Amino acid sequence: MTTTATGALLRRDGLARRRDPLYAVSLAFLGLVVLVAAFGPLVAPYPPDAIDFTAIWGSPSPAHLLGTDQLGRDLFSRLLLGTRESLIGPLALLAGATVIGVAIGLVAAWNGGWVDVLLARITDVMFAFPGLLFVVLVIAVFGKGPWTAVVALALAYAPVIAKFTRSIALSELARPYVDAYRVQGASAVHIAVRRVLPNMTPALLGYLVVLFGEGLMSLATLSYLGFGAQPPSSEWGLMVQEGQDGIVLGHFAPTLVPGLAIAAVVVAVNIVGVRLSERLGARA
Amino acid sequence: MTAELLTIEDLDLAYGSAAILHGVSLTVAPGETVGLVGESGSGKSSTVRAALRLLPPTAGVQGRVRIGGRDVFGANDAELRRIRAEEVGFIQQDPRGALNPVRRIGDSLAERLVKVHGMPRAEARRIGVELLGAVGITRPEHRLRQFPHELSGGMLQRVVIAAALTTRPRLILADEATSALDVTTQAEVLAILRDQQRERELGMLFITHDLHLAAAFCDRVLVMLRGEVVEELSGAALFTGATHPYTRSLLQAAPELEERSR
Amino acid sequence: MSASMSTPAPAAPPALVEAERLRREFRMPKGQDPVVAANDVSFRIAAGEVLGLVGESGSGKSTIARMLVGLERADAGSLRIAGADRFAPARGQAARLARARQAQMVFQDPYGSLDRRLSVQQALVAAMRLHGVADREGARRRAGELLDRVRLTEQQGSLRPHQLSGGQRQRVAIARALAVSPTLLVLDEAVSALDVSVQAQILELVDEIRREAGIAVLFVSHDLAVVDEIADRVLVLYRGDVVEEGPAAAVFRAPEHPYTRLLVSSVPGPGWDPHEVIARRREFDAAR
Repeated sequence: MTTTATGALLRRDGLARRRDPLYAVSLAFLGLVVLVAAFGPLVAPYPPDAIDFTAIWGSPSPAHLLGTDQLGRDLFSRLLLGTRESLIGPLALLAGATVIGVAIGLVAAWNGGWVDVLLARITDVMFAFPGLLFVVLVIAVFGKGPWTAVVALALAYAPVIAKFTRSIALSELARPYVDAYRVQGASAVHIAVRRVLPNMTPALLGYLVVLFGEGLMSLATLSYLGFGAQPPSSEWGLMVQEGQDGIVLGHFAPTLVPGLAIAAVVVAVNIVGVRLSERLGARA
Repeated sequence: MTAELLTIEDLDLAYGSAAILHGVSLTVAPGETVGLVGESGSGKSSTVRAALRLLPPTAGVQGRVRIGGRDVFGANDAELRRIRAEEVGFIQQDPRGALNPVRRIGDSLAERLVKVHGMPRAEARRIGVELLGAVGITRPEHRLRQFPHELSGGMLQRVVIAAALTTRPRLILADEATSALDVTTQAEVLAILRDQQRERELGMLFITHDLHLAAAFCDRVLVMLRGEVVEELSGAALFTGATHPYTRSLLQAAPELEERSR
Repeated sequence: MSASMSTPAPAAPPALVEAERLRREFRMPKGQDPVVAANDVSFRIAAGEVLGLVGESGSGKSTIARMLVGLERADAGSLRIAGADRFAPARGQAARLARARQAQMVFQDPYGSLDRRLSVQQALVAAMRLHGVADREGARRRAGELLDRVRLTEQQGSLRPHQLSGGQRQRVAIARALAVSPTLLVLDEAVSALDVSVQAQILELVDEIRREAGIAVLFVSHDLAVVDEIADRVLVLYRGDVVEEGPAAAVFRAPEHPYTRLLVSSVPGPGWDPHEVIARRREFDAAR
């Protein structure tokens, strides 16, 4: 096609993207969440572990905006203060899993051979074996706690990222510009890390953002099961677990508030992730 | 009027303010091969796609197109599908893109006959075998069971030609149909096309960037530049009779093997 | 030896590229015969000479081209460029870079052969910095000269590949190859994807470069007419075998080998008849 025609089409595309309210709302919401993670402790009206036996299972009121839990702790304050821990966990887990996974995936795609075969076997096993069960096993060996959960999940996520990296690296390595770099005399490490990897980042980033939502869910699940964050932490998954006694008594807020927080962040992250990778992909 | 197979009159095409085609007119009569030449972006492919209404809805198309006497732009969706299915065989440059990689050759060949024409499978299969034989494919029964990746590019392009002929269209639109093939394979494929054309009185619109090929294969050649037809010549006179400066510059740029031994 | 055709002096200097009995087989899946992409292929290219390599797809042209730049190994044979053995293992960065300065390549696909993330200028500077041009300023200046050499403007130098036309991209690819000052330039179907007018400009550019810089060129193409325009000598390849070799004019005007004759008569032109080509093909296949 002529360049003018494509240009016109691209401009139309751009307009369509700017008028994407869902993306804008999600992005704004995530911005707010990050602000809360950073400055939440300054805003929170109560310390997160301030027990008040006179206000157990309290309904929302001017004193307690979202009500209180089974120990009379202020849910609003706990939600704000739990944000940081709830976000840093998945971030750390993703960072670890990405470093390991991308390295293995790139090496497998570049070398083929036994590394590739080994990766294929490991990922096969990981796909057949429930990730959460693997994590619980690791925790059983190394003891429970938030950081064990993060490390275990990072190990569980690494093969998935490796497999994804491998598949996009294979198509990237098949492009002739990689041959051009080889003919130039660049080393394999230089080509893979400095040249090929940056060209893969749009696809990779979109995938990682979606995985972040999954990681948040997984960590919350572990905390809910008692393998992750430990009391008196106000990590959201743990809050859900602690609040569930209230459900039988008709007090839904202590589970609903952290539960909705998790759901909202995961949904927003997914929306942003998908749009982001589309956008970066279109630009490349 | 004579029974022209394809009549394009004053075809304009634009995306927003960007004009792609301007006042393109051409006709293709039965048994005739009309060449459409020009550089990339000159509008050769757009002409064919616009004529078949294969462009996205954002395209602004104006003009009149008649295929086999039927008005293309006035047709509703059902009529348009019928025109495309019954009147036109479309052959593109990349045969691998034209065939579904996970379907057997036989299924791809029979598809249009079974789906569009409601022909029984066995009958469609018989026609498939017959056509593969006609386009010079050996052991056609065996080929029907193969997948596209098992065939070479030249073989696949023959399959695509066979597929284009299944519904017995009278008009063939060939868009760089042999550009990806080696010269000897190109000659074989073109010989098959020419045989089929003679046998069935087909009209052919033959798009190519190869001026020597257009001169040797086409009865008439239309030269396109920036969405307009700037010159029309007989194939035989393309290299000697061109008067438009653009045509002459194109001809001059085209490398050729001179004084060859034949 | 036909190499003497292009070198006027009787005491010809040693050829820049010396390929002796290059051999390469590709194993095929389950029970099929291996494909011989290069069967004892020998040739020489002198400095400033353009050697054309023609043949149909699957004839082994690309395999040989890729061997010359180290992207493909040989099962047997020897390859020397400027006296240096290309098949001796190169260990370490310095050896690799030295080898890169012997031979560079321009690829067929103008869309995929440039790094889409880098501007033209950045791509050229990156190549030079890899090859030890220490100061950024010097590399930039030389990049400007290279752009000038391939007739791209400074403004085009700041663009990324997707903003350039196919012909402009191939100019960039040539400039990138020249950035490391190679002694041999391999062009693998480098003009096949371009319009004829653009093709003519690129051919002219390659011709200038080899004349001015004295670079040897291996020009691989399936398009006989293009090779006829640019090459001094031609090698005709059929299923890994060199079936004919000689000055381009002689090979294309008076082909001796039946396969070359088949190829030449297959090219559309005045008097071309596809049925005649088929008859020749049958004749040729029957004779083998």
